[in-house]
Amino acid sequence: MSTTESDAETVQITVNGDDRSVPHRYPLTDLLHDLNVDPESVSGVAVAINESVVRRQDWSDVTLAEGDTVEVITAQQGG
Amino acid sequence: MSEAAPTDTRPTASTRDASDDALTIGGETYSSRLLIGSSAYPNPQIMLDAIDASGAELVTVAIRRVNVESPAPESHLDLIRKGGYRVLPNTAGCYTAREAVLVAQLAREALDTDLIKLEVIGDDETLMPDVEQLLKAAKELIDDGFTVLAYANDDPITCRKLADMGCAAVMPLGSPIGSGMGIVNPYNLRIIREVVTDTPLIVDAGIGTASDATIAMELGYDGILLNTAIAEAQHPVAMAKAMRLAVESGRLAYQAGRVPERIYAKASSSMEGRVGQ
Repeated sequence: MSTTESDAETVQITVNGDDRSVPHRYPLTDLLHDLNVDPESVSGVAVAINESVVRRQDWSDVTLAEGDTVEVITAQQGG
Repeated sequence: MSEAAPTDTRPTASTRDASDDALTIGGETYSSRLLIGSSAYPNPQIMLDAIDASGAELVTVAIRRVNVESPAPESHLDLIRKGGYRVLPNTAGCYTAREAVLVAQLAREALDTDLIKLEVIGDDETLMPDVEQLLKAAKELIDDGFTVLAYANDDPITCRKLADMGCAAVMPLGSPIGSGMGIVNPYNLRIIREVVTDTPLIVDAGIGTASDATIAMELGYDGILLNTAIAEAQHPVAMAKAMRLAVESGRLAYQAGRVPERIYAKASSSMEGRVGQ
């Protein structure tokens, strides 16, 4: 059974608790754009993949793989 | 002729001027001893006006997932920072040390601060700390270089452990978060103040009105952290001012040293020279 390359290259990840399909080796910065977070200009946002914080200077070096759990957080009102 | 001065840990009377009486947390000094939260105000402008009226320099924020569906036009974080306040992120909503450590690490990355208000709760009815997880998280965060302000039960043993392991401030609750019940166990808070001598103590949670804050400060506490009492007051800005005055008042009264309590009267006026003697 053959699969198209695009099917084969799709991976399942979890982003802020929701399942999401993205291309294999999808850049983290592309995902952030999908979330309306501009990786160039945004402030007050942090990212963890599989419970490890990805430093901002490393965002552009990171791509996503099958099963990755991504958290993208910011500061909100709190006590 | 000279007698040894009684042991007294209070600052001397010369520190009456509040400007000389800074609160030091993790090497940073603050002229205000009131820390306030940024949640539940009627609107962002009232929040800013209330923070201003409170005199607070440290303002707490929560760490949450970005809201992809409805991004805020201008975040509370932006507003707080524009106001020149220092942000104190919390780990509210964390139930385990593992969650709290990750949230603290995310907060440090997002906000470029080592400060963390550590909350590790046991359930969502009482919001009481889970002591086992709290101590574990505090240790890990201190080892990781954080300046930890730990929200704790009003339990002298836990508070002493948190202080001994190197928390920058220990913050026992006055009563449950958001309850407005005030200081329900002043005796425990007194004991905590006696056993924790070298670490700032802040009453965090339960303050309902100004006198609650004053009572905590009169017990020798170094500061007050509150949110609901101001944010959900009928007039938050007025209550913020009341809290500022209450904290200053309690601090001054503590430094001044109250008179001993007695159950019988003691005349203020001299009995000498009474008419009809």
